[in-house]
Amino acid sequence: MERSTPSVWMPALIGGAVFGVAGAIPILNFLNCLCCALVIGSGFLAAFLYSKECRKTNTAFGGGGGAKVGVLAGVFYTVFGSIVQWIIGLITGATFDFEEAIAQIESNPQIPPETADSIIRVLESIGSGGMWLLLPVSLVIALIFATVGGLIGGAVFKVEPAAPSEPAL
Amino acid sequence: MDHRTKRAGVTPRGLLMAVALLAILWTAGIGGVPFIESSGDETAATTAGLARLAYRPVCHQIPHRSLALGGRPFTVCARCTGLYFGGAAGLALMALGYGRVRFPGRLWLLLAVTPTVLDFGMGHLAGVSLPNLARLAVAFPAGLMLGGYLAIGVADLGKSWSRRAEEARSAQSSPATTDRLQVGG
Repeated sequence: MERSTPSVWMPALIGGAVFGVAGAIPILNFLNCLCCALVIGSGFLAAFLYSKECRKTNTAFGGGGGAKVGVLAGVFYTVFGSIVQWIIGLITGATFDFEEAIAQIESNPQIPPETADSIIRVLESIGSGGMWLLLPVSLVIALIFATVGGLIGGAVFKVEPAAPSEPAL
Repeated sequence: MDHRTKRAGVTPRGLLMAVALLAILWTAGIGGVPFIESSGDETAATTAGLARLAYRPVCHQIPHRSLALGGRPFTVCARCTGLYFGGAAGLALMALGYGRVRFPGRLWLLLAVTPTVLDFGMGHLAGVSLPNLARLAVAFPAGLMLGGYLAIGVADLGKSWSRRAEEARSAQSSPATTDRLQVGG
């Protein structure tokens, strides 16, 4: 009996939501400093969950499926991350202050002067009203790295469908 | 021409080569940006500053945790430098040895990633930190293995694109056969 290909939506939703929420929580989000580990993790977890579904339904799974589920996980990562970040901002009262952000960047000794200058130049050019432009930038980064996670997951959790057994006569 | 026909030109090795090239370019920027900055040219410095900004979302860029060239820090920290250099090397090796290289199993991936995860954990939980060069050396094998696995995934993606393009081509070339099969089926 031929079984249908499992849906990529639920694994992508779980992978994106779990790591998107983690990426929005202060301190925990520092893991993203390790080459966007949380974003890559969202694609990797989604690929792992999808591979389990594929194993159950005896469907092939590899890099192609990994990329597909990874890119979707990246979308969910951005959506959930943004929502949770906004909620945390409401709870803690830490709303975005344009002037304060620039002052913080200027006074932060951990940001190299070259980087600080570049960030301030970009922030000033887009202005406080254009901060929403940063969301598509986050989305693009999430899509790239979550796809990388999905591709790695596709290679690690590869599923080769078993040959159908001869029906008993 | 539909999108499937356009993909017909993409071979798994070609796709892998393209991704490896992108990774090498990205990695070259890590040491290339401080080199450009040291030239003293105003335009070059602005371009380099923007390039630093591009690396900002993927790394904390703390200067004393980064290697330096001519007194200017790399665009990412020593650990990320190791991961990216390893990743690019893994991708390049797999692209050059496509079809000939057999990559180690999952246990090796775990073994390669564990030291850098421990280093990261110890640094943040116990405040124990390795010197920059040691952090790079510890991260390199993890990057190499992850790059290798990424290469396997990319090649697999290329194969699935080729397969679909092949199916689309054969369906276009023999519509009558397909019709007969559908009627007969």
